[in-house]
Amino acid sequence: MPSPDGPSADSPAEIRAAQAGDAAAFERLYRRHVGRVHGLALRLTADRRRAEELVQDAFVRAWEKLGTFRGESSFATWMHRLTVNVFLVADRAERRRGGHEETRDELPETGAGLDTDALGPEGRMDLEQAIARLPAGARTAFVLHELQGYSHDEIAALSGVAPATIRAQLFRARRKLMEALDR
Amino acid sequence: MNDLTPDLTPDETRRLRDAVAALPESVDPERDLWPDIRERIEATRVVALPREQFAPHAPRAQPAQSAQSAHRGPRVTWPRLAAAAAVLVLASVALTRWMTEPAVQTMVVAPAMDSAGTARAAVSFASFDSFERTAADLSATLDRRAGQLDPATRAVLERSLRTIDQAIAEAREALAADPASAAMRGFVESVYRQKVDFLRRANDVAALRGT
Repeated sequence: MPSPDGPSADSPAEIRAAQAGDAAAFERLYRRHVGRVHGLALRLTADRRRAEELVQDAFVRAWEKLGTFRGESSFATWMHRLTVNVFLVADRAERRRGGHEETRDELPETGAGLDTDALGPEGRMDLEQAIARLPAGARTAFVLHELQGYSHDEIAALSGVAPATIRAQLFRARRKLMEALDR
Repeated sequence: MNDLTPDLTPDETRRLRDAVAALPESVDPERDLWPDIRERIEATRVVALPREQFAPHAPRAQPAQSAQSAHRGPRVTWPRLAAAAAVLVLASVALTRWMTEPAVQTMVVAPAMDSAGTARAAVSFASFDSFERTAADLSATLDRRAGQLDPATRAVLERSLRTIDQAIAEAREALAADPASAAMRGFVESVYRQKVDFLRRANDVAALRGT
């Protein structure tokens, strides 16, 4: 899976225009990056509706925060990080409301809202489906660590979960995914 | 894979790595999400409205011009302040929409009293009492001119003023909770300034309709 930094036609002038409030420039950025942001959102949420909401929230947040983008990383990397942050903030709030800060993996596995037929050729279905069906905590840990390159400690800090729990969730995710691939 | 995945055998690690590498990074959403995003962006857009727009017989600004002049306003992180500011801005929207009937809805705030160009001379206010006296005078003038306005217009103005007054009340309440905050005091003053400015503009509108 390529990094978020993949080929990009983002020009500094275009980003500056968006930072200055040019919605048309921001729309061009959106068009260029929405697929990758949605791909990430879909894997984090395992639910098509929630993924769309996350994409919208992330781009609205990006619009609000564009002034803080200094170009120290690519816009794609910045956008991915922002999307992850938006997801984790909402996820953490949801867990607090539910009163189960570190026990998400006791919840029923999700993925029911994900129509994986739309994700790609048959060869990729198994892993996509398996990721979508992971328990929420294990899925988040796997997507962030294995697909996005976050360290255990980063995930722990961002998600408010102990590093040991992250490692356990990763272990669980890998085992479940291997079981899925072996079927 | 990003580490040695000691919980898997080398063969399992390779297979999982290969499967992950084959995942498409980009997955387009089934529908175009931009219209919803744009709507939300527009709802938070702050446009500095040229004062000329409120001068009698001034040409209406085109939506495209408004979009070009869009900028982000100062961010208020204190939720209470943000809420107060939001209702104030919404009040201005009501008047501005009525005045300009823009094709694209934008949030509009009045330029600062000391802004350059055609802004009126700034008035120094030593205290909130001064703001209130000025606002009361302007309100009285507006009341006298209210007969020159049609009922729908009067309703818009009255509704907007109620919203502004609510914003002022909430801002003052927040200041009362944190009286030492210079930033809070500055915010309350800015809300008052905008009320005064709103009333002046409303009087301009009433005068224009009366000619």
